[in-house]
Amino acid sequence: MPIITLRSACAFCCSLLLLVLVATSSQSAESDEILTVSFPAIANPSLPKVIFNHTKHVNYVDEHGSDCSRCHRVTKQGLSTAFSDARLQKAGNQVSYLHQSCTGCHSKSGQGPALVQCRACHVEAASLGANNK
Amino acid sequence: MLQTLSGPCFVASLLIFVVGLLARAVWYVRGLDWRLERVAYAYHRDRSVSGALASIGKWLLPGGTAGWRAQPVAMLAFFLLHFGAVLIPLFLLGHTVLLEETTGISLPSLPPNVADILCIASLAGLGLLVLRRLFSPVLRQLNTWKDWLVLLLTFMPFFTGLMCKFDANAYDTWLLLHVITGELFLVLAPFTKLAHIVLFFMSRAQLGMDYAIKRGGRARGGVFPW
Repeated sequence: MPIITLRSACAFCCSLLLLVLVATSSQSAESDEILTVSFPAIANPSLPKVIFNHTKHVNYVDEHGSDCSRCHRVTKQGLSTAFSDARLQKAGNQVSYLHQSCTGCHSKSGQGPALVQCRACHVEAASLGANNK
Repeated sequence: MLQTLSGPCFVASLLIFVVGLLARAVWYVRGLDWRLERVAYAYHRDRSVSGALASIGKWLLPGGTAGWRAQPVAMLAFFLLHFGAVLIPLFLLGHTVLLEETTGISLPSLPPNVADILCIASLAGLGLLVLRRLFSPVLRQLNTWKDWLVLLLTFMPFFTGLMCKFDANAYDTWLLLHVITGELFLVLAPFTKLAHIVLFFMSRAQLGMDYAIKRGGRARGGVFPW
C-alpha cells in the first residue's frame, strides 16, 4: 500500500532525526596534567595513543591511602615512567596488559572508562579535554 | 549502565541470537516433507552435497547466478551491505580486542580505513535498499512495517558505530546507542526476516539439493547450471 509505505518511511526518517538530536554533549576545559602513554611504542597504531588525566589519577590514589607505587615501580633511576610492570611483559602482550590493568582498576573503583569505551582513552590530541574522565 | 549493557546484556543477546537462529535452522529441517524431500536428499548424498554447495556458493558471488544478473542494482545494494555486515561485526579492531580480552580468542582485525570504507558502503547499500523498497512496484505491494523495522535494525548499529569514530564530542552517547541497537539486532534476528542469516543457507542448500536430484538433476550431472 503506497500510503502505508510513505508513512512508514516518514517514521523511519523521523527516528533517525531524533537520534541525531539526542546525540549532543558538553565539553569541559581542564587545567590538569594531561599525559600521553608512550610505552609500548607502536609503529602504525590503529587508534590514537592513550591520553589521560594524570592529576585525577594522583588524586584518586591519594584519597585511597596509596601512593605513586600504586602505578609506578621504583627502580635505581627512580620511579619508572611506564605503567607498573608494562616493560616486563612480552612484546605481544604489553597492550593487553595495559588494557587489563587500566580498565580492571576502573571497573573496581567504579570510575573511568571501561574496556568497551575505546575512544574515551584513545583520543586525538586535537580533541583534548573532551574525554578526560 | 554501559557496564551492564555491554556485559551481561550482551551475553544474553548473543545467546538469544545463537540459540534462536539454531532453532530456526532445526525448524527448517523439521518442516521438510520426509517423503518428498528428506529421504531423497539423504539417499542421493553423492548429488545432494555438491548441489547444496553449488547453490550456496553461486548465490554468494556477485553475478554468480541468473537471479543476480537479472537485477544488477538490487545485487549491488545487497553486496554493498553484506560485505560490511559480515566482516565488521566479526573483525573490527574494537570488537576483536573486546573478544580477546574477555575470552582469549584472538581474531585478525580489519585495518581501520578498510573498516570505515566497508561501513560506509554498507550504509550506501542500505540507502539503495530503502529506495528500492520505496519505488519498486512489486515491493510496494509487499511492504509491511516489519520490512522497515529490519532495515532500521540494520542501519542503527552501522550508523552509531561510525559516529563513535567521527563525532568524538558525543562519543559516550553514540557508544551507548551502538551497544543498545547492536543488541536489539541480535535479540530480534531470530524473530524477524533477519533470520535469513541462517535460513539463507538452509533454503539455498535445500533448493540446490532438490535441483541436483530431481527435475533432471541426474542428466545435468548433479549440479544445477545457474
